[in-house]
Amino acid sequence: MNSIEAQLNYINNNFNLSVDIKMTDSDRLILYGPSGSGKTTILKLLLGLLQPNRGKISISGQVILDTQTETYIPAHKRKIGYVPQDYRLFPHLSVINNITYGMPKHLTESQKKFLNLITETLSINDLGDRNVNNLSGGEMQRVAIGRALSIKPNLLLLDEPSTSLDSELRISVRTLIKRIHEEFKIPTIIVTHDQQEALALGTQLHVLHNGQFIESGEPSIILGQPQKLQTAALIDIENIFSATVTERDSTNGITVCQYHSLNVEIPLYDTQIGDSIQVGIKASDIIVATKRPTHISARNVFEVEVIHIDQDHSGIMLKCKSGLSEFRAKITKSALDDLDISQGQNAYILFKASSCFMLKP
Amino acid sequence: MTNRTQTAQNINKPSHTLGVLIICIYVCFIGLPLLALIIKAASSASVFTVILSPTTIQAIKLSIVTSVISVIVIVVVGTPVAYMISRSDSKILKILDVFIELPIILPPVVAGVAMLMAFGRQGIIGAPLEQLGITIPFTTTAVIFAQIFVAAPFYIRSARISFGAIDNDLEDLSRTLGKSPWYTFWRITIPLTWTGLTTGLALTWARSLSEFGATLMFAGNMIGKTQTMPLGILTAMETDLNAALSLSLILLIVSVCILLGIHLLSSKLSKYRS
Repeated sequence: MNSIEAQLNYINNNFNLSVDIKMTDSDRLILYGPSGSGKTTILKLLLGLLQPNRGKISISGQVILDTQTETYIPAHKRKIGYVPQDYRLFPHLSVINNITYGMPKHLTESQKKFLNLITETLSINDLGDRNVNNLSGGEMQRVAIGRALSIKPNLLLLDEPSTSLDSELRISVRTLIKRIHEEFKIPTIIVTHDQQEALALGTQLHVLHNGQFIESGEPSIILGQPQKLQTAALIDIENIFSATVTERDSTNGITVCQYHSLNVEIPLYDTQIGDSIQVGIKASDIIVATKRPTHISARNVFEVEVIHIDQDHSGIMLKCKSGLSEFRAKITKSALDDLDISQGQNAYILFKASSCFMLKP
Repeated sequence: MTNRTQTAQNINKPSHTLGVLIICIYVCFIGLPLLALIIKAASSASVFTVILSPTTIQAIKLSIVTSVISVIVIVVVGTPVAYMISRSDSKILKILDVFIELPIILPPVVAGVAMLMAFGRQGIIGAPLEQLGITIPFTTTAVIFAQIFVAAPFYIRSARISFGAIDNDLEDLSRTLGKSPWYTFWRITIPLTWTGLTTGLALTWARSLSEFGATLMFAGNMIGKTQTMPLGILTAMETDLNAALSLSLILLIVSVCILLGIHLLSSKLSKYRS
């Protein structure tokens, strides 16, 4: 079983990166963060293309870098497969020469079998002599993955694997990456700033901000209900507001807090009455109705005025207001048509207490 | 759409005509003297006599041998220098880059005088070498020295620009695939910079072959020893115009053959590598 442990500290001008990574071959680790947060720097440090100021990297117990003992295995001896964001295929080599670039010149029978397994798994066995400059985005990516796998890596690094692909291809690439991980059993680190990709591929996730992991855990939990205010801002939680704790109901597991004139019920947290807290809720967790709903389990039902309706590629965003309290609710275009709501009209929003989460600074 | 295209064509028409006119003038300016040389030399009765004379054969041999040696030295030394300059952020190497290009703007005669001051019998390095029994000025070695001094910047500049244009990430990727920096250089860097390197090679060879001023000052004009083709033409001009014309024609043919040969080799190798 491959296990990866890395403690990395890297300082460059005003940028200070300090991270700690632990994973096994059953893991697909997501590094999630905005541009400039240090995601690609981590990959380059692992690859040996950058040298950390302090740090230690070991793969399956073998130390490939230790600044204390001055151990440094160069990039070409690390056996770490790397698929860069824009594939970076060698433009002067054919598809097959790209894939076999990292392999010996004369292949043994077992190496030939392994090559066949790669090309069949990636469905690139018919591209052989093609010029890489004439491939589609999806084909280029599969060739780049094949090239990285050809060295039988101990660790596979994928930098934004589906960023430059259309939505259909993105889905097939995610399926492919999962299949590769299951077939070749290689611990995989995936850099992304796409929440859907992180949710679809990750078994664990680190949120990276200014060179530090600010939150780590299961992708669905962190991207669903983050604990940190910074994470919530990074993943664009649409509703974040300050409220004051007014009641703690430990029997029902409820905290009541006041958001301007509204009493909002959230799950029970370790707080005191009078504490000022930050509360988050995703816009997609808020339901909109034109009549006051009755006999429902949702603990939070408020009458609001729809002050703005905004449409983008992912749906309709309603900006609603009740006194000074503001909420954003996300609904589909068909839901908007059914509700027949227009700007300035009154409506009701409802959400469960468990959809709310408290954010720590 | 059609109207817009027509308008664009109308607007472009005068500038297009002007462009064609300028190209024609330039082609005539370059082509006419060469054509005149070919016509005059070909009509000369002595052309074959001159070509087959021992002096001419010696000059051709010396020009080719010295320029080939110079080009080999320039490529072997210049390639790593150009690569280092293109990859380094060092201020010293940036200054060195400017320094390397200095011979391009330096008059060749000044280069010859400077080389005499350095490697001449009374020169800074030449004097101690003389005591060791090593003489450089007015020898065939001096011809090679002069050619390297004058022609090297053309190759180094072209190679440095080519290396600078290559995507560093491709070299990094090669290393992550288990290939050493040396293997990466041969398999990735050289093929991707091939066109720039061969262009530099052609320029530097042509410059070596036509080198005149520095060679005359530093190596002299001795038949069979330091008299290259350009110096042979100078000597012939003083006594026999027909001989000078014939020699010029030969030098022109040799230069064209070298240029064509390098371009052919370059395109064949590019196809082979891809």
